Amino acid sequence: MNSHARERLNDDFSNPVRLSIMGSLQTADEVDFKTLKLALGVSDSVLSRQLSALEERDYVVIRKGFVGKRPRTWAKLSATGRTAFNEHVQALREITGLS
Amino acid sequence: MSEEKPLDPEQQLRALGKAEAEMGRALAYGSRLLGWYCIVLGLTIGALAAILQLNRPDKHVFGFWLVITLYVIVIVVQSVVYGKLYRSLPQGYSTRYRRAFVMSIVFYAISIALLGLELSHWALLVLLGLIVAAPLLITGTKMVRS
Repeated sequence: MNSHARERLNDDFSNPVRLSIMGSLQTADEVDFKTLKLALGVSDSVLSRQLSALEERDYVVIRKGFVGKRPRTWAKLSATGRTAFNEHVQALREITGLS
Repeated sequence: MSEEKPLDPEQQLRALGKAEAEMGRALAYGSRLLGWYCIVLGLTIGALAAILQLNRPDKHVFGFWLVITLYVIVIVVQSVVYGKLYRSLPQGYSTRYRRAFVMSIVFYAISIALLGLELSHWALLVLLGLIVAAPLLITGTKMVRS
């Protein structure tokens, strides 16, 4: 890669909640909405809005289902999301001198 | 957590470390849950493989169907309970589970092919059951410990 690391930062992940969502999902095959909400310490509406934004950009795959009669939502990184986020984290490490 | 204020690179890395640590605690639960599910499922399939040797369909029709019916009930109950408790799964665990499950099913199919040998010694049956259960048992134990 020839471009400077700062140019490879992905603006989609500069938002703190989105960054934390991506970081959390990176370590998992799949996480349900409630677990993600508790881990990040954000409200339902904030998490829902940011997950939708990440889904629109094809970074996250959302799966909705039912457990008994209760609806439940799971989220996981798409292949596109995993690649984009890895590149972003790599750029962060290069900028901060951690790579 | 501030929703909109962008973070600088150092802050982003710190936030990432924190998010991963928080998620690590949640994923530990998912790891233990799938691990126990693997262990119980492995023991169930292993037990089925051993018990069927004593209840061959051509000799004990009632016993055979009783065992199969109980097996289906146990599998359905396990799956429903797991589905209710399932929240999250660490990266790579679904692949590990699928591999172990397929291996146990392959061993189970081999044990069915051995029905003609009419194995009846308890030690052989226990060994057969353990071999069939082994992939899921080993995978499940590793998941519980991790």
